[in-house]
Amino acid sequence: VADEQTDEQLVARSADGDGEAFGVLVTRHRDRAWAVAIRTLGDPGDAEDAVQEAFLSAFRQARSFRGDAKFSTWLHRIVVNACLDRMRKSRARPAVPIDDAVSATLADPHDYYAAAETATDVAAALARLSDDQRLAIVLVDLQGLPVEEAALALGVPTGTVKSRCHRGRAQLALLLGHLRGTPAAGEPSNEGSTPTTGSGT
Amino acid sequence: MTGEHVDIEELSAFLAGDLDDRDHDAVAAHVADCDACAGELDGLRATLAALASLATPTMPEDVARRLTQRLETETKAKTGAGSRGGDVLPLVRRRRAPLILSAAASVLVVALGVTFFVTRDKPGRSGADVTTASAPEADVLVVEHSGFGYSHNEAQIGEHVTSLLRAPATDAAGGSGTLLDRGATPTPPQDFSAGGTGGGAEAPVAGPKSAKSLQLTTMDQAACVATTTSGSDAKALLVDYGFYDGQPALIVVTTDQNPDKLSVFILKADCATNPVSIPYLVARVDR
Repeated sequence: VADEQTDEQLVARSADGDGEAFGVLVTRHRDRAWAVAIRTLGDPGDAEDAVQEAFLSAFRQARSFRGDAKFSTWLHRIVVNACLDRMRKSRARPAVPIDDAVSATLADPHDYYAAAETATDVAAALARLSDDQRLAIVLVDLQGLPVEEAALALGVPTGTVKSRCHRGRAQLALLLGHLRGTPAAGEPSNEGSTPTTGSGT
Repeated sequence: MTGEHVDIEELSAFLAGDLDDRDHDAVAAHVADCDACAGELDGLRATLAALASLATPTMPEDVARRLTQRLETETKAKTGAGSRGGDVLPLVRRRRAPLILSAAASVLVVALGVTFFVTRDKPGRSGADVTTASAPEADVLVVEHSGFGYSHNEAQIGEHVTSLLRAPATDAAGGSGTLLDRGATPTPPQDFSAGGTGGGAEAPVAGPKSAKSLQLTTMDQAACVATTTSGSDAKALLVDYGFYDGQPALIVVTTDQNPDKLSVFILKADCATNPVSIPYLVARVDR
């Protein structure tokens, strides 16, 4: 029975403490939550913690869900907050493995125009973005959320989501070596780039 | 536009169709004539393609199993607690019970009479409505309007909130260690348009000019604040009207599982009307 109910019906039952109804919601949405967390955080242990915290938080706060938002949007927001919380907690930790991965990817200029990056390259480049930019890219470009929903999930105006996406994409393009301008790995790309043809050789 | 290359972020906006017609046409014209910018545009397209080609990760089975186990444990705990009037009920009661406003409309007894909303941001007269407070331990929720600019800086947050929490006790000699009656200015709207990251514990006097950006009623405050403690036996100790990342925000300080700590939550200022407003735990600070 629970399997046929809408998210909104299930969350209403969850609000009354119905663990079974909530279990159905979890099954429906756990891959989505996992995708956001693993892409945002990179580390599987951190992602698992964040997803657990997020679903626990969602269960506890089921009563605060108001039917005028989609459940998935509401859940995205909770997952995003859990990820932010996790990032804040692990900020002190040096991201050495990621740095290594990126320099290995970018070390060889002959690879700049390699047709296909491995998923690892893209993930490593994503990890180099600022938290805000990465979250925007994850929600919009990877999860495919409309900008308006991403804005709700992030709690910022749509214009902010757009500009974070544009900055993040520009930075990714540099990191992945898609631009002829020399990629200064890790440098913010606020000034964009001044294309200098041939500088890569 | 000759000689001026297009900023790569603008190229991204161009690709996404986020530019207005004039800028869009200008970029299109430039790119048609500029190999460098055309190359960057191709690079951006390649980047978007690389992003799009990523497979969507699915939750590994062992992760899913542990998630289910943890949720089963917790949901049982919740059901059990609810039946004996424990962890869950306070939220229900707070949200459903009528809020009783005192004649002064400023000292608010929430639900079971355990939590007071107190404003003390301006000197009040002492009188019949004045109740003694011994924050932060007491079941008293202090409402401040510090206008403080909160950020991720845990030390700064800790210093600020503990100073706000200690204020009543330290000021006791001056008479502000009591819950003050705001008299003729019940629940003044908060003027967030007055801006920024000003001042410490000294509260701006909220005048009748007031702001459009935030006009929470005390009822809304209660519902918002309750979301920070739902599902736990934490108690809210302090609500502060301030800013987070430059945006008006409600900051709620609650007790923590660790008795030596306080939890600091950020709520959007429009918490009461924002359907996806979720308290964001920004810091755990020492008491």
